[in-house]
Formats: sequence, C-alpha cells, structure tokens
Amino acid sequence: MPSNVRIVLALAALCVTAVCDRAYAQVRTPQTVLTIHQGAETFPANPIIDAGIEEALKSRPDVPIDYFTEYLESDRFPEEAASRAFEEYLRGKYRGHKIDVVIATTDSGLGFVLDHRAELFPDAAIVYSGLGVISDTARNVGAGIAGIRIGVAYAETLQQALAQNPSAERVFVVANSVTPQTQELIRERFREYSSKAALAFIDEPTLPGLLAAVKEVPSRSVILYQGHQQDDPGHSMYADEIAPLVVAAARVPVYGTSDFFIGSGVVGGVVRDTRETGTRLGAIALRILTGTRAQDIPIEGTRVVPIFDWRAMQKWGISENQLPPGSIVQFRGPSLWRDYRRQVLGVAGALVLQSLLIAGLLYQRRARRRAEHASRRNLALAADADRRSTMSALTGSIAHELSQPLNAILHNAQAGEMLVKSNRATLEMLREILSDIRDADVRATQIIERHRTMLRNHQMEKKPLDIHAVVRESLAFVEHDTKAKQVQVDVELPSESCVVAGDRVLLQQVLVNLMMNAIEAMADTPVERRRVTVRSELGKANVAVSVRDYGSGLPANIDGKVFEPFVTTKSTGIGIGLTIARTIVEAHRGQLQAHNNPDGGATFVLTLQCADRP
Amino acid sequence: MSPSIVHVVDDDQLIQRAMTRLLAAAGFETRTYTSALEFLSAIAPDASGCIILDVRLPDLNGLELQVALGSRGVSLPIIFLTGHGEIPDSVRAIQRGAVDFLIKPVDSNALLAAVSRAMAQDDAARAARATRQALRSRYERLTPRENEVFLHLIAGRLNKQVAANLDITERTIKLHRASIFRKLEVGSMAEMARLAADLGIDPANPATYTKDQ
Repeated sequence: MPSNVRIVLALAALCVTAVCDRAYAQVRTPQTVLTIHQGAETFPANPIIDAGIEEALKSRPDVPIDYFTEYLESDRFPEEAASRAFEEYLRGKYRGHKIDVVIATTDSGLGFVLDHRAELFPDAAIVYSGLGVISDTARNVGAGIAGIRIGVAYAETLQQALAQNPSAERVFVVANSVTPQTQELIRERFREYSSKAALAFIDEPTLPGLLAAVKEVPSRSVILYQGHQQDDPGHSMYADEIAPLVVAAARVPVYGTSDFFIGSGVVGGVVRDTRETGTRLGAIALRILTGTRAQDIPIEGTRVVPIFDWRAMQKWGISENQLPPGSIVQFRGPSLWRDYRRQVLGVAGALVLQSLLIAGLLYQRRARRRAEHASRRNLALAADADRRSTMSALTGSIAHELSQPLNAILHNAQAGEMLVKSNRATLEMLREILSDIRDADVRATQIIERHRTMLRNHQMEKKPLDIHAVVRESLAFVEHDTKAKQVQVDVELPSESCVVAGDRVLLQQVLVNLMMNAIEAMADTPVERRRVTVRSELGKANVAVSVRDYGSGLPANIDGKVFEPFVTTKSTGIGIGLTIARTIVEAHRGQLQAHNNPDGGATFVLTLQCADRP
Repeated sequence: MSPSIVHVVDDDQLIQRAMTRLLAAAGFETRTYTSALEFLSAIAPDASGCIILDVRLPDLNGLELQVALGSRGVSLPIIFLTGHGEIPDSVRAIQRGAVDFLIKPVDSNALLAAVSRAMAQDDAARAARATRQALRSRYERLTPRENEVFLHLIAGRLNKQVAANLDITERTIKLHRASIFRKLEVGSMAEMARLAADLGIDPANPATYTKDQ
C-alpha cells in the first residue's frame, strides 16, 4: 500500500471521528435555554412571549433544546426579598445543569440576571428585551449579551388619539406603576409630548379611585391608557383586566399603549406585537446556540404597528381613512372577512359577476325596450299612413255611403214639407218621417265615427276583442265598395267566437286591407265570379280568419315576397300595405300568410291566439 | 191601360222608404223592390211609369237590366242613381238612351223633376207607341199587292210607272190606290207619305221595315 494512500485514510478516519463526536454530543446533550419573566405565569404577556420563543426554537429540529421558564414576580413581591429568594430557588433547582442561554423578557428580569450571573449563569449568553440600553463593554463580558429594544410609541398613540378626535382639547393619561421609577420614566415620555396637547395624569393608585376619576373626565377629551398597576391587596388585577373597566367608565374615547388592550374597548394604539417580541427573542437565542457570538448580533428595536378596534371606531364615529397608513383594523363587524376571506371573495366575485350580468341584461332589456318602443312607434306611424291611404282609397265609398243617410234625411224632410203644405200630413205620417230621419242621422254618425277612428293617429293598445265583431266591422268598411264593384261577399263566421287581445283599429286595418286587396284582385274577373269569402275557423287555442278571392291570384314572380315592402301588382300604391299588415299581426303575436287557391284566386290567412281558450 | 207607377229598386230600406214617401207626397204611385232581379220577375210587359235604380245593386248593372227589360218587352225610362265620379262604363254606354242620371246625394226636387220627366217621356212614348200601333193596324189591312203598290207610290212614282213596273194596267193601279187610301184612312198622297214616315218605312229601302218593329 503506498504511503500517500495510508495518509489519506488516516485523515478520513480523523474526520469521521470528529464529525461523529460532534453529532453525538449534539444528540446526547441538548442545550438549555431558560427564560425569566418578570410577572407571574398568569401575567397575560408571558404565555404569548413564551409561545413565540418556543416557536422560534423549534424551527430547527436538528438543534435539540431544553427550554425552561421561571417567574421573578417582582411586581407582586418586594423586589429585593423576591430577588434573593428567587436566586436561591434557581441555584438549587438548576444545580448540575449547564444553562446555555438566559432570556430576560423585561428590564427588571435583565437586572436580576446580571446581578446573579456569576453564581447562576457563568457560561450563559444573555438575550433580553426591554427599554434599557446595554453598553458594548457590558455586552462583551462572558458569553456576551444580545437582545432587542422594546419600542414604546406613546407619542405616536397620543398623536393618533388627537388626530382621530379633532375636538379633543385635553388628554387624560392613566399610567400608574407600583415602582415610582418606572412611573416617572413613563411620564417623562409623555411629557415630551405635552407641548402638543394639554396632558393630565390621573393619580389614583386604587382601582375604585381610578374608575371614579375616569368617570369624571369631561367631554372633548381623550384618555390614554398606558396601564394601571395597583397594590390594593383586595383587587389584584393586571393592567389588561383593568382596561375594559376604564373604557366602561369613560364617556370619551380611550386609547391604549399595549396590544393587550386591543379588544377591551379601547379605540386602539400604536403598539408592539408581543408575540413577535417572543419569536425574535427565540430567534436570537437559536443563532447563539448554533454558533453565532451574542455580541456579534446587533441590538435592534421592535416594530410598532397601529392597531385599531373596528367596533370602538364605529362607536366614536372614526372612519378608516382617519387611520395612519399600514393600520390593522381588528374585530371588524361580523368577522366574516377575517374568517372566510376566500369564501367571501368567492361569493363577492360571484355577486359582482352576477350583478354585471344582471346589469348587462337590464341594459339589454332597456335597449330592447327602447328598440321595441321605437319599432312600435314606427309601426304606429307606418300604420297611420297606410290607414290614411286605405281610407283615401275608400273616400268615394265613404262619400257614397254617407250620401245614403243624407239623402234619406233630405227626401224625408222634403216629403214632410210637401205633405204639410198640402194639408195631407197625418200625425202618423209625420212620426214615421221623423223616426226615419233620426235613424238616418244615427247611421251617418256611425259612418263618420268609424272612419274618423281609422284616420286618427293611433297608438297600439291591446284590449280583449271579439274577433268576429272586428271582422264584421271591417266588412262594413268595404261593403259599399263591394257593391259598386259587384263583388259578392260570403261571410262564414261560426256562432262560437273567440276573444283576442288586440288593437281594434289596427286589426280592422289589416282585415280591410286584405278585403280591399281581394276586391282589387278581381277587377278583371267576370262579374259572376267576383266573390270574396271571409270565414273564421276556431282552433284549439287560436282563430284563423281567412279572406279568399277568385281573382288572378298571386303572380308567380312575387309569390312568397308578397309581404315584402314595395312589392306590388297594383298600378297604384307603393306596396307597403301588406308589409304593415304583417307587422301589425306580428305585434299581436299572430301570423299572416298567403297562398294561391287550387281553383283560382288567393287566400290570406290571419291567425291570432285566443285569449279565452286554453 | 195600366197606371203609371214609379218602380223604386234599392236595397237600402231607409232610402227606399224616403224616396217612396217623397214620391207619394208628390202624387206618384210607387212600388219598391230590393234587387234588380226581384224587379225583373215582378214587372209586367205592359207596365208604365219609370224605374229608379241604384247602380250599386249587386246583382245586375244598368246595361244588363236594360237588356233584360227589353227582352221582356218593357221599355220604361230608367233613372240611375250613382255616386259622384263613379258612373260605371256599362251605364255610360247607354247614356244616350232614354235614361236619366242623378248623382247622389240627390236633391229631392231634382229627383221629383227627373221622375216627372221620365213619366212624361213614358207617356209620350206610350202615346207614340199607341199611334204607331194604330197606323200599323191600318197598314196591315193592305193586301200584298196593295202593299207593293203602296211602296212604289210613297217612293214618288207615277201611276203609269208603277203600272209598267208591276206589269199591270194603269187603271188597275188607280183601283189599288183608292183601296189603299181607304184602308189607311188618308185623303192624299202627302198624307200617305207622312204615315209611311211615321211607320218608319224608308221609301228608298223599304225592305228595312219589319212588321215587328
């Protein structure tokens, strides 16, 4: 075996041994992290910070860690005695345990750790969160110190309170601490801001005193709740438990300086996220455990966020656009949005789509209505014009028709006059004459009325109509014409009629048009063959009225185009009568069709729905 | 002789009654019909008077009615009632005949005047017909030989010319002429010539005359 190979193997063996040693050490001896809280385990912030720390530590499963928590409780017991007893307790409890990292979550916790470092945690790195500032010299002692500076945004909260309540003239601050130093520190921070608002501190160490004072806070004020530590033995309550009581007692908006107060009824505040503080502490500890020197980790501030309570905003009439950018609004209405955002978005999306669809349909419907309205108007105009032209074609007949009753009146009057003059008039004769004159006048009036209706401008108006009555009325229009042109009219209407929803004038127009076409079609037909058959046939749900002539029929070249405009076989007229007739019929949801008869002539069939038949 | 009657043919009851009443007030006797065919089936050949007819009657037009009346030997004057500007061609064709046109609405006096005119016309026509009838019955007494002589004489021929033409003696002609004068109840050649004219005999072309006329 060459020597160089042997060297390589030895090196490899060394490497393997070293790696295995390290891995073995890591597996067999987990590192220890101890967190020291200031308050008791029940202090609201503690479990949240703990949860944050643990979450961060567990983010590396390959780094086994034993995690412990202890509670200094210096807020509840005289600091010095508590501190001494706690030191003894920890020494006994953790004898034989090597503590790798100590986390102090408050300034007083850090003070305790530093005071007893030599005895309790000689080899441990220290991680802290607090207001205090550690000098670089102090950080480099021993395993070093790292941490985060807790930001307080009292000023920012105060600023928000004033901005959201423009009418507020005074700010009442509740900041009571059992330790005079802390209290002074806090008040000092507020005083920095006192040039911008009239500040007043509520100095009531007891809870009843505090609440009574809060009640007295006048309107046009806001209350800033920093916290209330009280030592009344009968009322051992934490600041976050007192917050809702303060809010309930106050007649003005209350703002808070801690995220723990959000939800108790305070409007909100610019606060730090307690959980985030925990995760950041845990993350720093983890970096130290995985090889980074504590003193190499820069000390940073905690982030503050404006958080507001939607319900309180509603109560005090504060709108969202009064909030600073990046604000978090909690407890919004029914928290549908928070809890079911995706579903809400889905439903909202569907609703928006549906609304758009509905809007589209509505728009379409409106457009269609407009178009329908316009087409109805156009139809009415065209129908008016066509009716006038039809009527003008009938003018001769109208004049003649009117001449009958007029003549009857004239002759009767003359006869009466002659009889009276010659003394031959009996009362009976005169009565008959007058009665006939009245009848003739009634007839003349009817003729005029009928034609006047046809000549008037007319808007389509559907009413229930007896279709046979409409047919008979239409026949009356052409009766004179058929006589003059020696056309025999056969009317075959069954005794049973049907009611259609239609416009009397327009349907008459259609029928008169068809009848006149039939008469004109037979101008060159021998007199004995001049015949128009008008008949109706009742179907299950409709009625078909046909007008048949024995004329020349529809010419092959226009058959099928007979309803198209400007198609005509007549020497006069422009050929829109049938187009209008069909349009009128279609406006009645009916049909108008034409065909040539096998035995000569043409038949036009008008089909309408019966309103009174299933 | 049957009485003069105004035959009113109109399907409009109201106008029919009015006209009847008017005509009755004016002293005319009337009879009413609601259609041309009804009238045709009811009218007697020797009827006298006149007809008032609405051209709009659907069954027969004016010309057809006139033809139908002629074939029945009825020659009553017809007063047509028409609408303004709608005189049918068939009616226009007979306009020159013994008819009247009244455009509706018809003035009552105009109607009565037309009826009076038609009645007078019918009276005159009937009188003329009666005269002609009498002349014809006289004329028909002539024997064929006398008729031959008569036609020659009214053509202005002299007795001897007629005698030569007919290959008979002049004296025989004179005997025929005396018999003709007696039968025709005339006293001179001029009188006989007028009678011939009244009978519608064209002396230059006597064959055109038929006894049916």
